[in-house]
Amino acid sequence: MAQTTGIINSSSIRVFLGTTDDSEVVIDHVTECSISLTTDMRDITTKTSAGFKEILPGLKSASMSVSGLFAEDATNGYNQLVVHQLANEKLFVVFTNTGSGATANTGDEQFDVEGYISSLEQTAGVEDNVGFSMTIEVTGTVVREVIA
Amino acid sequence: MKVTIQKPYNKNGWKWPAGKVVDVSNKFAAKLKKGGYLDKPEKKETKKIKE
Repeated sequence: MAQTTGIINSSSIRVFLGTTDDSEVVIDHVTECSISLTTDMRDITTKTSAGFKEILPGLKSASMSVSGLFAEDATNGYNQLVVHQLANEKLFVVFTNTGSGATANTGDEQFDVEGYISSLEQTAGVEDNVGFSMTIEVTGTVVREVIA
Repeated sequence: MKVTIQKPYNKNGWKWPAGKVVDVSNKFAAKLKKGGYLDKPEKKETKKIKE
């Protein structure tokens, strides 16, 4: 398939994860996901900066947030995620565009990262869906690659 | 992509019976395909013995 043209429907973005590289399974019943990249800035301002702050890029980091609905029988849902967190398991995560189908769209780009669950919350109100929200802190390189 | 596991898979933290439909990453699908987990098992020919 060729690279997708035009603005992408956000429902096409899916998160797959597993405890082994290239063994990722989609997280079930996700309602929202995001990935955030940060570059810390080093202050290199000196007396010769003419009164203006000068900076250079420093440490890079990334984190991912996923929210969804709880289902006891999910293939890859809260019940699996909480095991990963309690066991401090490293996760291999793919943040990808599946288009309107379930297959990652060849030619588009995706994130392929490793990380740990830093927070996982299950929420339950009154007469509402049981939900979960999770944050994954990325360790190591943030890979942005073309889907093959 | 959605795939149907054709023989029991018990590796990499996953434990699935044959017939399970799972939505996996492209790379995982390729790995499953390579391992023969997505191919339907060939039917064994049974010879009918004429009595």
